[in-house]
Amino acid sequence: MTDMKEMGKVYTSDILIVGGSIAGLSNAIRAKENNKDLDILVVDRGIIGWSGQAAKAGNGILGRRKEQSVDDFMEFSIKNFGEYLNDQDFLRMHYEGIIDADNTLLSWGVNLSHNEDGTLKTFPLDNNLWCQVGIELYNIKSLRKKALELGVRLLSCVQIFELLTDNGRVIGAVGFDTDHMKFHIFNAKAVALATNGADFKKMGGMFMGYGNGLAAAYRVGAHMRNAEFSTEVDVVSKATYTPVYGCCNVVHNALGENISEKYAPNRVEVSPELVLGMYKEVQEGRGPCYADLTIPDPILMEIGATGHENDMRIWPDKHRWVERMHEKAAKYGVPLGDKPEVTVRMNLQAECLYVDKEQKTTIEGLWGSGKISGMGCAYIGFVRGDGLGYALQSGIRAADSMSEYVKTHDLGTIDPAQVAALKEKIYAPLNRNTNHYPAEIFSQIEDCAFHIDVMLAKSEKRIKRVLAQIEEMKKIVPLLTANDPHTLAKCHEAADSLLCLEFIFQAALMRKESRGGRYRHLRVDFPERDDVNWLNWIVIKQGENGEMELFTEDVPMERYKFQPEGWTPRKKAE
Amino acid sequence: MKNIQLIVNGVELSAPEGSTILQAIQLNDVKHVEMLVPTLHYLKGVQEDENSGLGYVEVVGREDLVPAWSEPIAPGMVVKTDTPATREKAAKSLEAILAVHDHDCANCVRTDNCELQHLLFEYKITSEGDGRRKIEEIDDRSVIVRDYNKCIRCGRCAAVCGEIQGIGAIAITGEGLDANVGPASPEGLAGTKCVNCGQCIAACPVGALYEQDNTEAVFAALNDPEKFVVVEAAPSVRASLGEIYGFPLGVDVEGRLAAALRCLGFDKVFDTTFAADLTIVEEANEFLDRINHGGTLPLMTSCCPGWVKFCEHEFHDLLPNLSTCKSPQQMFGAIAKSYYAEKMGLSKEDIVVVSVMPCTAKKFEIHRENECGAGVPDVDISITTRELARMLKKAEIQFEAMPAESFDHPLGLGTGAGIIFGATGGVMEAALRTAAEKLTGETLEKLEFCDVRGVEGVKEATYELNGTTIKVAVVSGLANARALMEKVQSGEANYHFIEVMACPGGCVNGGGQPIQSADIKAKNDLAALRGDALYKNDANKGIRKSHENPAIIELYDTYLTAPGGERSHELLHTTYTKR
Amino acid sequence: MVVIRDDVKFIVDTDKCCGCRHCIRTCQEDVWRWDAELNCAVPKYAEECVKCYQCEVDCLGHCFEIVPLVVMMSDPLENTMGEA
Repeated sequence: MTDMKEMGKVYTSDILIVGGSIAGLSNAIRAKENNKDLDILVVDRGIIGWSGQAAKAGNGILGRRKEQSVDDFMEFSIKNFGEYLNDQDFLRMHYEGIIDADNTLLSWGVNLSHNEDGTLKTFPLDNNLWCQVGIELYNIKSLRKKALELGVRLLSCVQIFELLTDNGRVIGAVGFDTDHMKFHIFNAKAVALATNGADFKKMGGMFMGYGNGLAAAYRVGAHMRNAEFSTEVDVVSKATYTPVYGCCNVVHNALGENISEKYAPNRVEVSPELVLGMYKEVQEGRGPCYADLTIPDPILMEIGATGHENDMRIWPDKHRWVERMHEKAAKYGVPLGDKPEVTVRMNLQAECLYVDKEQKTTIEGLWGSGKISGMGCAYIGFVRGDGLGYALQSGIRAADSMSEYVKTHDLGTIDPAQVAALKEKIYAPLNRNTNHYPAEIFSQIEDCAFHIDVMLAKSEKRIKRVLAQIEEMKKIVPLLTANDPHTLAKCHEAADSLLCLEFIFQAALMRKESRGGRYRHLRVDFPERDDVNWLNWIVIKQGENGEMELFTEDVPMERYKFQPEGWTPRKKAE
Repeated sequence: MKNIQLIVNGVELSAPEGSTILQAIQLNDVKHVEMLVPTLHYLKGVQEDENSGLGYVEVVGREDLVPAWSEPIAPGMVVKTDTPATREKAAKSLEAILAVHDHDCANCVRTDNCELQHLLFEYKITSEGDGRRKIEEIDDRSVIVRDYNKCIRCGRCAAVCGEIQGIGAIAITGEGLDANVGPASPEGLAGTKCVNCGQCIAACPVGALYEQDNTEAVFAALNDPEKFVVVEAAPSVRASLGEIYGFPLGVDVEGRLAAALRCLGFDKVFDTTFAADLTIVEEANEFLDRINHGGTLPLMTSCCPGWVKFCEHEFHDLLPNLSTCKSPQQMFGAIAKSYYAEKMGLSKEDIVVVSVMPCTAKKFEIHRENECGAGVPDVDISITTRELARMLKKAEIQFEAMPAESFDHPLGLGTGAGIIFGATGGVMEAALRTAAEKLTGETLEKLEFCDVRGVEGVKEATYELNGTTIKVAVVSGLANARALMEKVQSGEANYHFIEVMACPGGCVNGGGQPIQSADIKAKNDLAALRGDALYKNDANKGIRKSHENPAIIELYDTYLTAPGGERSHELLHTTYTKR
Repeated sequence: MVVIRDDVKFIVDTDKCCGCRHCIRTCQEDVWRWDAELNCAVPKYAEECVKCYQCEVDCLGHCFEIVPLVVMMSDPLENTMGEA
């Protein structure tokens, strides 16, 4: 161990959780509740209690009223979101877990909407198909407090870039602190990644994810799944670039025609059809579009962020934030008003870490919770509020699994040569003197992928063009340079984001069909859904020689309750 | 008491009849709707008038703004705390206060924990003040430093010193923002009967009062290769240090405290709790000696330097009642520089003893006469809980990342009895656990002496131990102590043993502890919550009686010989002065 | 100080900064860093700003203002690759 201390600062714990927002802290708190003697260390690149996507939400966490049946939830998700690509076992488990998980969160001291008797209070969502529980914006500040009370260790301002392995098992991680760039080495019996996915900076806006977790997992052999389902669409105000919640049925073109009705009638959420319709209208000269918030549309009235001053749907810290954004729009652009001009925001979100029902990845010793595995778990049941919901539940599931695992597994032995090699790789950009900086990569990613007909309406030609551009960008990666911890981190985020972009487009190339609701995989050259050939998951792994390998796994439809109409089990040849 | 319903900012609240609007809001502590009623003078239990111009609300049906701190609630009352009128009034008052306040947040010890700063933030006041102020020199002649340029004339310091501590070292002359709030002596606090308890610091909403900062001296010692630096941390520190990092109130961070001290680079990380056990063994012996040989009774505890100085000023004839035992802080140092030094082959001149205390009076105590048991000062530097947090911040040590570690041996081993010293009644209970066993010769079945627990200002209990009736009293807060001492003098009270703590609620509520705002203090009983953390710690300790501490047993066996013996008197006992 | 990037401008009153570091704490993109010489938090990596304004909301001393120069660098509905 003396070698280790000379190489960097060493931290040892029973459980290491990389990422300290809602998924990571839920994981830590639950594990500590399972066994108070566990030494649990949470590490985050930011300051735990204020970091992560959870601190930029505050709109509600998915709930379930007792009278809303799990089967109904499942049926809707399977028919509309996953179009039968859902892992129905995972989906059922997840929806069944909503109420307990929300109650657990409440018990941890997070401010949630509740009745006088302390029970959770729900608000309707999507025309009462779903429901949400109001949640404070800074829910992770409350979770931080709970974690500290229980004795969880929180290490802030350290960013992790690689995982350590011993004989195919993950046993730790390495990275550096964001102030002094001092190398940090972590040794733990079990490691969880709760680092969000990859959001390709600049396109992602406020949703974050820098790709390091996904890429580090990939490099140690963890599998990816459902990478092709990565495009999230939303309708945003042109003035603030933030979503106009609930406007999916009231979007109009410049002529005052309701184009929601024309392209995507009677929906509960923004759909690819609406986005493509808006695109057509603008391209054909009938833009800009606007959302008419005066129309008494039920979806709009349900979810709008106004009129909730008192009822716990929206909490004061979120009000303050929304108020500031409205002020900015009014002061520096166009006041939002009741007919804001809208456009679309598309996020490319890689969330493809393959996990099972215990949130275990395909590599021993490594778990994944939160958005990093949001698609990789194949539940495809995300509705608004389930970003927080999935992060919470997956954190809890990972905790239960990890606290069992560490009962029977000891610390792995760190290989100094492995650490030395990774250390060299991590600091390598510091020794170069080129003119290539990470911003270049992010710019080029935006140029090549930030188009409706690349992100949303793909074709073989378009995909191959992106893949070729990725190959070109990969040549720049070894030339990236940095002189400070921020830029050094960005070098790795750029490289890892590029890798995640490749996951998305390799999988998109392979899937010759169109499928999916909210995270739709749309091929203009294969516009129909193909349940004969494509009721399977595309899995990606790093091959023996470092190449990306893709293969498929059949969806076990014969076991599932909800099957496509007219589906019969495919007869296996042989 | 009947409960009344009223509506504040659209939310229905319920509060007992007779409550003020402010009290009703505090009681309900609503989180989902903001109900800020700005105050700067108000301090629950100390000064409940608000004369700053702040604290007004709108009541439907009333033409003028209504003072929330004094207006009683009425059934069906409809209150609004945030309207253009209330905002205008608050802003005006805040601007006026700013005009007399040196708004130098960047260099102020209370930044990010200042009630004025918080209100300026909430009301978006960004002006600088108009510079009419006369610049005053900072008065650092005493342990308690006074930066008068920051004083906002709230009067909370004078109120706590006069009413709660019954001393009145701080006087107010004049009115409003033209008032002068200062020591009642041209020599500063040192020229008054100030006992350095630091309650004024805890009451101050801004950075006008703070303790002498001795952290540089600690860093210097740590960086001096010639010095062997040991640290002792008081029980109360572990019950409160976490607050500075956003832990909930009342969380015991003992293990993390030890780890953090170790990270700072102390050569040995010890625990004042060890010395608290030592104090109990000595003091229980002293007590039984006085009982059995007609010594001066009541015996009164002497571990609180605020109380000791108070006694030295105000009750000369009761000085013989004080235990001659030093405080645990001091006993620790004496043992570190004698027993421990010899055991480890260290020269006592090269040892630096640093104490981390919930207390500001401890800074005064280390310089008292006869606190040099081994011929060198028992304790070299005393810092507060707050100063420790500043040291950790400067050293870039993340307290939240610390693992739970143990204190070093042998001076880091303490029992549950020693731990509860920080709560009012804790010293008494610890002493009783030892004295009871010594008197009865039997093992105590139940270790908890619940009659002396609790945050009330005065508690009393009577115990029958082996045919001897022992009457004890526990008092905290010096105004309460004064009243009790007067009864002792007059003969109205006939106790055998009295525990006195200067700070209301005991050391956990000491003047060196993390400072909480008036709002937090109105809604939470800090002494109770922090004290509970210590009682829980005690309940989980394997050894809970001071005389069963193996490190203490070894100390007596190999070094001190017997409690109250010659060596004990040389090292562990002290004298008092009439002031 | 004024810091300008393509899409955003920061106007910071460095004298007012009290060192609370709420801006550093709340920023997801590592825009803010502490400048020991100026004794103030500065938007060292202003180009990373996504204009969420949470730092501005949380600044204890209301010391700075973020001015959005451009809200979106390009509008996806107007920007097209234009071929199959």
